[in-house]
Amino acid sequence: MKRVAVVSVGQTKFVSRRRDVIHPELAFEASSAALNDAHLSIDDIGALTMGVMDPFDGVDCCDRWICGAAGGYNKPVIRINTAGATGMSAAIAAYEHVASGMFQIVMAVSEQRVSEPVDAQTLLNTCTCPYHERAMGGSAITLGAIPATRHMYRYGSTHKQRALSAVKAHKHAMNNPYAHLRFEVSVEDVLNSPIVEWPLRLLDCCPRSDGAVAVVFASEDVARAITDRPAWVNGVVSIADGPFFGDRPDVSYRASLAIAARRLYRQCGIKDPLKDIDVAELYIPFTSLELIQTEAYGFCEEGKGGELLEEGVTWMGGELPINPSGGVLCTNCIGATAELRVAEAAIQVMGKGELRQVPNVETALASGLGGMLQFHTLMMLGSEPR
Amino acid sequence: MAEKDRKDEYIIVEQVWNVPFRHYAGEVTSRYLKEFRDNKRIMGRRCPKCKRVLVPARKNCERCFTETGEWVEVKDEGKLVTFSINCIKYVGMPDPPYIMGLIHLDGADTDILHYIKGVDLSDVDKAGRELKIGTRMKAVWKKERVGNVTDIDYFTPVA
Amino acid sequence: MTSRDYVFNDEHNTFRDTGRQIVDKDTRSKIDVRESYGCHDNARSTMWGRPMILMNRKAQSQGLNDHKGANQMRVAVIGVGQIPSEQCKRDVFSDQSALISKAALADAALDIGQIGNVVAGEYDLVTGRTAEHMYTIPASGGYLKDEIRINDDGLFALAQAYMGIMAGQFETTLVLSTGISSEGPQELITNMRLSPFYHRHLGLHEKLANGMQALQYRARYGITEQQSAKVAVKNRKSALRNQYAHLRKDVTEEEVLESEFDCWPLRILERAPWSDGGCAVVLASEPLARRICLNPVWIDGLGWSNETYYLEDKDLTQLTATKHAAQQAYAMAGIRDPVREIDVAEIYDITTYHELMAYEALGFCTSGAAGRLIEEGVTDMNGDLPVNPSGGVLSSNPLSASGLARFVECVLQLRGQANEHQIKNARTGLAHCITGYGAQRSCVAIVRR
Repeated sequence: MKRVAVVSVGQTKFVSRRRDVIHPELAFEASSAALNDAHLSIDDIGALTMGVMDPFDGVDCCDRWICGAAGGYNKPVIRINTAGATGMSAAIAAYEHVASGMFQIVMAVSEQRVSEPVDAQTLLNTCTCPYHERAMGGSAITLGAIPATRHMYRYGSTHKQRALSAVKAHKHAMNNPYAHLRFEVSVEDVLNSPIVEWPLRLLDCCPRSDGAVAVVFASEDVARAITDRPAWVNGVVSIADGPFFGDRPDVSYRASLAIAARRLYRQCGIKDPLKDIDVAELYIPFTSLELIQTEAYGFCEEGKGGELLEEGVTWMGGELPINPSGGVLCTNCIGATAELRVAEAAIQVMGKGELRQVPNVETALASGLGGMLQFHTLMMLGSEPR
Repeated sequence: MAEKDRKDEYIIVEQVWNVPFRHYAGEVTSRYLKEFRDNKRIMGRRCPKCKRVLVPARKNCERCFTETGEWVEVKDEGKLVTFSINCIKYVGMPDPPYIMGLIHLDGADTDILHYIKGVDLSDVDKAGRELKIGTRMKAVWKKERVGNVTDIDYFTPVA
Repeated sequence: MTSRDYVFNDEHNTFRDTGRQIVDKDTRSKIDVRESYGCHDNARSTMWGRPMILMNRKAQSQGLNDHKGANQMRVAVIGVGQIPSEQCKRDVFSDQSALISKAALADAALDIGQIGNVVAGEYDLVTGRTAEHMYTIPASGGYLKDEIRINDDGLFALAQAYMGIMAGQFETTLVLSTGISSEGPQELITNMRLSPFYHRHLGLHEKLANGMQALQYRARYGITEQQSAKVAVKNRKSALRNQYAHLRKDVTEEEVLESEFDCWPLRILERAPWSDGGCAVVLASEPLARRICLNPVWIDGLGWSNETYYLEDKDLTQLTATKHAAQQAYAMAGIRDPVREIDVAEIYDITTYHELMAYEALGFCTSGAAGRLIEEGVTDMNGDLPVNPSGGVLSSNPLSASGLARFVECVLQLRGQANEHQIKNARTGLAHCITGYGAQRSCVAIVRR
């Protein structure tokens, strides 16, 4: 059993559509960026984990075509696909490669081109059960809309409170040169944007982005030789809820996410999340989900997610900034997005955040979300190993 | 595929995924395919480290983990490396029989995958035995070309 | 030639081609740079008498080759479960996951509450769903558990699960593979995996690629059709004794050689069927296994590798990924002479020719000598190294579970629970899996009693 740290990250600039490169070339950009960042060569990498979610790229088992360019030539490669949580699952798998003692340095690479399908929602509909749900035309936006309605009914949260999540994300993204959407929005902008799936409006939803992310994990034996400020992996949790919305208590996923959060806090010795965690990069693809997630993580009481947004606690300069990178509302390359959360959290701990750097980060939380709000992955990074 | 089901036993839900995609070929692949369309040329890319000429053209050499550089024209003629003859009709696949082969083009360090025609397939086994590995093959280009690998119609044995 | 000679002298097996070249200063000729790989004896690490040029080996030498020193704890298999393979289960596939999981838990004598996490090795498009594990993981008991889904054969999921336990994350893990081929057109689905720019528009699918590989292999080494047919005869005969196998009708050499062509030169009886089925494995850390399991089987060796996707850019006559995976697994398990030290092998025979190529890649014989091996009966049920006493993938191919099923069969052999296809005194087993075009990916596991 070895302790493991993130020693370098690489990401591509996220855009709607990368016309100039094809899928393997995109993965290469992220891998080589991560290696260059730490002055490593591909020969130093013992194994690769690849995270790609089929079938957005338009190629089934896309990793088989692209992993060579990503650096997996004649290397051990394991491909992970856990829907939206894919990126972090790939990171967790890479962490396990190193923690097991079998490998010293392992790279997790995630790539996704959400621009390839003419309509992404047609594809997302294929997640649904062909016997019971597919015909209803559900899509990814449904999973933000249904809990939103329920939350408004139960706790009286408002469109305006949700809109603050978007305002915050867009403001933060202005500090992040890699983010896809880089324009500020006001509450009015959000409330006036077209309705996509009531009660969600266009600016309540994430974009679709092309891009790739690579994160290099190293064992305690070599981490400090590679970088002065590794980001230590101090806690890792993943959890599976059931696939059907109707099965869950209160139509949300707060219960299972809260269980996962408690498991993580136990692993890391977190007693008071707001105080003990310095920054969080959370998988929030729809504004409504920020309310539910902050409640599940214990950043506020149940039902008070909207108030938390109004109080400024989770803005840059607040006690626990959420998504200083702009988060998923400003960049969503689905299969790679959850790994981007790990990368951004690691950047915060390693002090490489530049304009988006939160001061004095010792503990950073990253999360991933997959399926119909079914799979949650959590990782806690720290400036010191536990 | 599934066995025949008795009509009253289990319900079968039929599904067809009708999902359109639009793939942008990027800089390197676009050039490769444009050369097919405009010049009936096959262009490879050379890796600066191992010096191999990769066809189809690729932006990255995975053996060296490095970007390829120089464009190199290779001949549209070469030796047959291996092939296989599809004899069964599969859903979504072309009607049998048809031959798929790998051809090592003169000037390239890798092979190219394509259809092989101009071989009598009335007796598939006989055809397979008579078509020798090492046979010289030449590309037959379509008159109307659009920038797709199928701008080469097929490869055929050189007489 | 013994396999010991093969391991050290065959240049393919001792060295790994780095793909780089240098120019010899004296002769001006180009030399391929190679790197010692999985070789215990460093004195042999020379290249045509010149000193070995070592590439950046900072992590390489410590990473891949240092399994033994890394961690003294082992991982045990404390339960296995499988369901019979058949052409079509005519059931909701996630309901089958529940059956598979329960079979493994019953065998391990554990309650689902005592399982730490679920690791699934399953495919999406094959089942006609995106994120199909949304259904299989909860159905198999993963509700509110830690989970991950490896999108490849279940044997790769086993490798990940192994590392999770070695990392101290979990004490017990359920590795699940729900195998399903009947719900969609599998050949077309393999075509969907091709590059949309260079390969998709050609009528290529994996069976055709297997045909190309088989042809080049037999042409290069003079493998005969009879030798290929012997593999089919052997495996289909063994399947008669395996209650879980899909195809349970033996065949004669004549029947094989007269069966219809699928993708010439492959005949229908020379390649695997499509099946539904599945299997699961329960793993435990060593301390726990010793406390609660009467007959643990130990995972002593594990290796996996990925080679190039491009059929155009490799030697199709070699199963390169298998070679590398086996080297890692052998190094970890301390195996130097596979034929002598391994008692039973379950190989992923997607075609008869792939079984023969695997004999070579796994070090059972030198390149091209596999035909002789099958003729001499070395790999028969009562030979020196029985291969596929279960009937192999040629008799059962529950897609995504076919590789994990090889592992399950090895475990049953070591426990003496293989019933009518039991190999006597099996103490060391090898399970092998290949996936992708041209056997792009491979995983090899060594288990011991």
